[in-house]
Order: sequence, then C-alpha cells, then structure tokens
Amino acid sequence: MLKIHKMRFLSLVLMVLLTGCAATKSLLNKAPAAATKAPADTSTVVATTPVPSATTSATSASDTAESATNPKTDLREQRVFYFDYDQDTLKPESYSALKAHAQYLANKASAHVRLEGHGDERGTREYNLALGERRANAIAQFLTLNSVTSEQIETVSYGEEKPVSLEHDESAWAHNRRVELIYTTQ
Amino acid sequence: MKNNWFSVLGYVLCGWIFSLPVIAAQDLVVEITHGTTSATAIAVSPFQWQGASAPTEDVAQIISDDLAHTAQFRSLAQDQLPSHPTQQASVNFAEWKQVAAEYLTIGRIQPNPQGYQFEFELFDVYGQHLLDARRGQASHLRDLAHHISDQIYERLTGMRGIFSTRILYVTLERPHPKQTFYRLQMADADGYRAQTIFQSPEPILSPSWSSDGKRVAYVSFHQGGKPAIYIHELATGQQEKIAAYKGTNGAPAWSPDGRSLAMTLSKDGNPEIYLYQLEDKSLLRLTKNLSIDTEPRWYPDGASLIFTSNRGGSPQLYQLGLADHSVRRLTYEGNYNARGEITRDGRYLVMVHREQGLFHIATQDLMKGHLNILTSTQLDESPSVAPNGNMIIYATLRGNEGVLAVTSIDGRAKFFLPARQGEVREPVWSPFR
Repeated sequence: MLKIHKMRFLSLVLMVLLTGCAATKSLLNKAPAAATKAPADTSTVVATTPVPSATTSATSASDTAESATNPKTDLREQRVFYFDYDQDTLKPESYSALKAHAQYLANKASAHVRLEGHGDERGTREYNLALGERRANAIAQFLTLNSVTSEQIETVSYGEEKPVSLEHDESAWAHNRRVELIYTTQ
Repeated sequence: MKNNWFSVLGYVLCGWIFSLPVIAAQDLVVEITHGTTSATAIAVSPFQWQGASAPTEDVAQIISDDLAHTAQFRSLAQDQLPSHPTQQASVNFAEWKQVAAEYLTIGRIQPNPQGYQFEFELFDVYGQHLLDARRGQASHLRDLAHHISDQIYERLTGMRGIFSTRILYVTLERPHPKQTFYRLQMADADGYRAQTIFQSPEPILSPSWSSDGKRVAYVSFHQGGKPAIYIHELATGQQEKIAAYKGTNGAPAWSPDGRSLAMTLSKDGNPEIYLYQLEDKSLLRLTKNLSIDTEPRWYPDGASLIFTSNRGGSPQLYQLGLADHSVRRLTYEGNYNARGEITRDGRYLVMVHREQGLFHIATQDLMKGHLNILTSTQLDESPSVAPNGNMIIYATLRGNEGVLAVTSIDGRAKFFLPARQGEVREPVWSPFR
C-alpha cells in the first residue's frame, strides 16, 4: 500500500517537473486524438466556459497580442480540464494552464478556487460520482505540489449529474468528462 | 391441478390502509414492448359494481394489466370476452374454453364508509372448477385491484406477487438549459399514483428503501451544492441528514435488519465503503484501498456486502465479508461490471455490464457462473430487483430521454415506464409490505 502511495506521489512530482520541459511533452502525450480534440470545438457547446486551448498555439491575432503582453493571464483563461474515459490522470496539455493557475494562487493567498469534477453519462452514477471526485483531486494535488495551500482549494464532484452537453455521443462525452476550476475569490 | 373445495372455500379477510399524503405528481405510462407466446391465458371479467355512482377505476383492467406485465400471463382483451359473468352460477366453462382462456376471474365490489368490500373467484377453465375464492376490504380501488392480482399470481405460480409494492425513482425536468428540477417520487409498481417525496433544483440520486418500506435514504445536493445523505420518513415527511462529510457522501444502502446503512464516503481522501449504525450514529470504515470503492449493497443474509471497485484496473464487483472484512472478486467477464445486487434467494447477481461499448443489465448465476445479458438497449443502468426476485426495474435511454423499463429476470418480457414529462432514472423496487 505504502509503495503504491509513493509511486503515485512520484508520478505526480514527475508530472509537475515535466510541465516545464517542453521537449519531453510529446513523449508523454498519449491522449487519443478524439479526446484531445474535445476542447477545440467547445465554443458551440459550452457557452459559459469558453476554452481557449492552452496547448494549441493561439490562432487569432488578438490572442497572440495578448499572450505576448501577459502570457500567464492568457494561460489562466483555461478553466476547464478534460479527461479520458474512466481516467483520473491529468492530460499533459493541461499542465501549462494549471501551472499558471498554481503560480497565481501561490502568490495570492487570499485567492480561492473550487474544483468541480464531472464524468460522462456512461456507467453507473455513483461510480461516476467517485470518478469525478478523483479527477478534481488530481487537479488539487497538482496545485498543492505547485505551492498552493490546501486551504485555497475546495473540491466537489457532481458525477454525471451536470453535463455541459446533453447529447449522447463521443463528442458530448468528451466535453462532459472534465474538471471546472472556478475562482470563488480572485 | 386438483380440486380442493374445502381449503378453497375458507374465505380470507384482508384489509389495509394507506396513510401517505398524496402530493400531485406525474404518473408513469406503461408500454409493453414484448411478451411471450408461452404465457398462461387468463380472462378477467368486469367486476360487478354494487354502488350508486360509477366506479373511478376499471378494476378488471388493472388486474389484467398487472398479470400481463409479468409475461408469465397473457390477459384476454375486454372485447375478446364471450360474456361478463359476475356470479359463479353464470360461468359457462365451454365458452371460455372456446376463447382459449385457461383461467377466469370474476368478482363484485361494494362501496362502504371504510372504502370498498370485495369478493372474487378464480376458476380453472379446463378443469372446470373453482380454484380460489376470497373477500376483503380495501380503502382504494387500485389497492383492491393490485391485492387481487397478488392473490391470483400466488395461487397460480406459487410465488408472491409484487403488484402491491411500490417504486422510488428520480425525475428531472429541464425547463431551460440552465434550470433543473429534480424530484424523488414514489409510485405503485405499475407507475400509477406517483407522489413527490422530495424536490430540489440540485441533483438527487441513489434512493434506497428501508427494509420495512417506511423510510428511504438518498443523496441530495440541495445544501450548498454538496452531496449529503438523508433519511426521509415517508409517513411524516421528516428529513434527517446523516452524512455530510468533506468530499463524497454517496450510495446509501439499508441493511436487511434495518439497523445500519452501508455508504460511500471520501472524508479520508478516497471513496471507501463505511458502515453507519443508526442507533449510535457510529461509523466503521470497511475498505482501505487507493482505488474507487463504491455502490455497496447487502447480501440477503446481511453478513456480506457486494460493492464496485476498480482496484483490479477496471470496475468489477466484489464481495466483502463483514465478519473479517475479507474481499473476494465476483466478476471476471468484461471490463465494466458495476452496481451489483444479489437476488433475495441468493442465486443471481444483477449488475450493469458493458459489452462492446454498450451498457446493459445482466445477471450472473452465482452457482453456475454464467452471464446472461438481459437488455439490448444502450446506457442501461440502475437495476433493482423486485422483492419476489422475478422482475428487474432499470433506467435506460429511449430516443433522447431517460425512461424506466422492467424486464423479467430471464429477459423474456420487457415493458417501459416512461414519464409523461422529463426524464426518469434511479428506480428502486420496494420490499413487500
């Protein structure tokens, strides 16, 4: 048991270290194409949480201009983080945005976030409730390993109860498997 | 079948009273999708009504529908009946044989200040004799009809009928994309007389009956948008919060003796199974594992739990002995087996099973080990076995809408119970009353 604990911790530390290392990123990026595509077309589905992808380079002229002036603010605009089916491990493309959130929170002790974990509709509701919590916890652990105090973080899982897309297909499911990071105090 | 006049003629008096408050709610509508041709044919002649004003319910139709839902019976349509006898003297067996009815029920109802007095007789058409004759008192016509259905079913199959039992379920209405109304509802087993137990704009899930059917436990997010486990007294509407720890408070499951609840809590960092004693409110942690452990349900003897865990890499079902906390894996077929329930006779494990990416309701024979997939729809979930072990209610998707469906334990008969509006999910069958 202890051994598994240690391994989990080590893998998290490794993940954190790797976020600063762009060269190794491609090696880690094992997410399937279908799932990684999800954030790209969220604008039509998720009206309230636009997701400018942190991993794909900014495309519009204004984005490029903004990120040039304040790259950390730009990265922090990503507030929704997606997960693979039945998985609670962070995708490498979430690292840079999460790192920016962590940096902001670590520098501002008065800021607080709520992490809301969600799953897609497949499988049983209680299992998805547990899975949503594990996803929120995975992000919470990433933040605390990056110097955010646990007092600044609150987690809640809604399981499959609060989908952003009400359709019943792969694309909807990819959008619904997520953690939403919400600043309760900025 | 032997003629047994003496035991048959001992009239049985049965009476029962409902004290539940009735809040307006939507009934479910039954749609039979397929039955079987080998079913026993039964005719229910319209009951004689000995009251001044017309009856508010068609009792014979309710009985016909109840029996037909089991798929063990095929009820003759009212327009197929050759005559409408209401007394034994006017039963002509020859004409019932001609329409291939194997059994015939006739009866009489008389309103009185306490409700309704009834008498009915059940005949074996081919044996040309009376099988059963009973009378009783009921406060509502639907109770009366379901009670008679139970009597007929038990007399002909030897198994207790489930027509007087009830179901709990959750409905969701979404008037606008951002607005939700969740309702925990209770209805008769045939979907009628739905009442709202509790409603909230936040999610409600995992209802569980107490063993005496008087209380229900469930998970609700109505306080601060966080999950907590509540116990609800049906007669009084009183709600008590029993678990609201940090993290997940989920999957309450009442023990067979009614004294404790198994539940999932993640207060110590990870979803684990706990045992909550109602008397002293104590908590005992039963699992310790870095994986997800959830969805505890009781074995009928109360000595073990069945639960879902992904400790082996994918969600599978495990048995947990309460005496020594020993854990044994029960499922090996497929890479998703969850929300298990053991039938009261201990013979089958009922679960959600994934096959080629689709989620179905399946049974595993605990003696012979083989798996039987009962449903062919997708996204089937939340199976709950009827107290006689013969039917399973579950939630499924039809079109774009969540509906309830019932299947016989052998998968041969199925019917849908869609809500008139919105979605319906999380059904649980009550114990016998």
